[in-house]
Amino acid sequence: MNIVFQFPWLLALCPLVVVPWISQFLPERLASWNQLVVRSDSSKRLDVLLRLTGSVALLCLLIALAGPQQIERKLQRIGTGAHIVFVLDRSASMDETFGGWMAGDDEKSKGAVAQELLSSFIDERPHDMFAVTAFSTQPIFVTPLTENRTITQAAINTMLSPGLAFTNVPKGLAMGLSLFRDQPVTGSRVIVLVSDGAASLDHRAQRTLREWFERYQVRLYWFFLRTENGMGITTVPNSPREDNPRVMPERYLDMFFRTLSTPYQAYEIDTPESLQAAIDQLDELENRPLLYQEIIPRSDLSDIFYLIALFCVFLLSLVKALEAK
Amino acid sequence: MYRSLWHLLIVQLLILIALLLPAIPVESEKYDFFFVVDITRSMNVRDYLDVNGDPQSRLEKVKADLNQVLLQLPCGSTVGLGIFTERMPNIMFSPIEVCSNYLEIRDSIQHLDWRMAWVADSNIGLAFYNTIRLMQRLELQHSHLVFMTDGHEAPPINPRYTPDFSELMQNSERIIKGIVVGTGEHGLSRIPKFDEEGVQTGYYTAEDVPHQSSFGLPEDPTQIEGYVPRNAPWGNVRHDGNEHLSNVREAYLTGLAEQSGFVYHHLQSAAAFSAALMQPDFASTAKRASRFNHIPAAIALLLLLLLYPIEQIFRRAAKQIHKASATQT
Repeated sequence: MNIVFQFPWLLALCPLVVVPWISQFLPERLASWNQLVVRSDSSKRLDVLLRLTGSVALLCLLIALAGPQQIERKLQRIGTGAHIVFVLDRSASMDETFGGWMAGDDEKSKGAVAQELLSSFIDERPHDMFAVTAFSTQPIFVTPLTENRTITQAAINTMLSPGLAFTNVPKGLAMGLSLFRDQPVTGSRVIVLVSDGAASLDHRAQRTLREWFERYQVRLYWFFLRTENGMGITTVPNSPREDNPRVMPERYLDMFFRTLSTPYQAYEIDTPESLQAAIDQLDELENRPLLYQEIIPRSDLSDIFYLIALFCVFLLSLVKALEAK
Repeated sequence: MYRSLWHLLIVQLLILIALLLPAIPVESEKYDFFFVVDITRSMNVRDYLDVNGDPQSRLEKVKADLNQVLLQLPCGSTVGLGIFTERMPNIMFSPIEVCSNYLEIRDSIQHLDWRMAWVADSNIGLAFYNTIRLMQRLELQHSHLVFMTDGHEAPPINPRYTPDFSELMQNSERIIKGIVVGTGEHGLSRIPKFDEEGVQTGYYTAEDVPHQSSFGLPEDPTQIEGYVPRNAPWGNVRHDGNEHLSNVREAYLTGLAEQSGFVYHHLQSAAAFSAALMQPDFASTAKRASRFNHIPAAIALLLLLLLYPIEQIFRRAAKQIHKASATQT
């Protein structure tokens, strides 16, 4: 139980609880001779009880006024879900539609479509933790792995601002993987790479990525937003001369991902509907037992103290009502 | 009535009110800001001092002061974050409530890094122009823009191709208010140079950077020394300058602010920055549910104390003193 007070200085008034012990709210009666008044044990006890009730009433009112609050708590729960890091392509071509045209009123850009579908995906997965990273020429850390949906949703909105520059996939992936570095291993760990292009990887990048995917046990989903008539993951080269990473980076990136020791799925997406289908499949696959933290928000405890105070004052008033007139 | 049963009943009634009083919506101030931070290389210049008195880069200063602002903003305010380099802004996250998302917002600000820059140039005028255009977006519509930069254009810009802010402001669907925040000191400082791994390898020297614009066509060719229309439209003379050194370009930034109807603020302390942001101009009222149960509760406490006769307390105290003096003599 971690309790904090909104106005802790009010607790300095606590010494006031002695008032009922040095004063009595029932009027004093004169007796002609002290010996006539029986000093029975039960009346002494009753006296102590009355003073105590008064003290407790004062104390509880004081505490309630000081604003006691139970601070935010985290409870460990077990559910199903995943730690998902989105690695979002922010290259300039994401502003185009799936047809390869400028986005207009009738057709949305690839980025906007992806934003919408990812956003509803986040809403549908209650126990997952999400992080958002983006990349263009350089990787961009956007938000950390968190249960907080508000900021994840706000970060997905980054897809709506105009695209930036080139597609540097390896750096983006490395940034995404690095987010798992200090995280406990629980549930499945997933990187969702959303890109509309690929880049060739040099040997150094290949080695690093291979090592990190294995070390952090991360599964990779590649949502490749393919432009109509553009080069795809499964496009077969027309001639051996074209079969190299410079001409066909998508094919070679896919071939590299297949050699990873952790599971990998690629989805070639060329319409908003196929993106929805891919997201549905990810939703189905990534449901392993997961330790997650439920956050119980900060709560106000003053009502309990008001209730106790009310009860005490009620007792006092009962006694007052029974007072001999 | 005094000290009667009624007295106790009133105390009970007051506590009951304190218990049952629902939250009442009251008007309170809130602020909505979209912070856009310059992450170009001149922001690495260490011309600020941190709390320990050590040199602090402009970007680190901006990050530290933004964190202070987060703590100052009243709950219910919203904060969004963006970065820019060259002429494009990038939304990191659209505005969200500041108190309930504080930890994540702070984390995101902590991670701002000059190495996120996707292009190396700075074209601050155009970046500012594009950011104002971006502010028309639905997600940013209720926010005020806080544009944080040192105003150091690299390479220097050709004044012929500066964007027209008055036209932009006229055509925009809503009035965008905001503040341009100048970072850096007035004196010139060296710009650190880093290698690919982020290790500093020295400082930019005069040979590293162009000192004059060579973009597009010059405004008045006759003014240019060694002007050759085809082969040297910007002259064939070497130019020296101070472009490898950086300070806050206040004249330029106040100019940008004036053209767009923004306010200018020079970043010096977090407190002054917060004060510049929390202006009536940027405030809006929001209804926030507040509980007022402490008022009846405080009265109840006072009445409960009055239940116990004060004379008795004094009499008791006087007796004690009397006793004490009696034993002394």
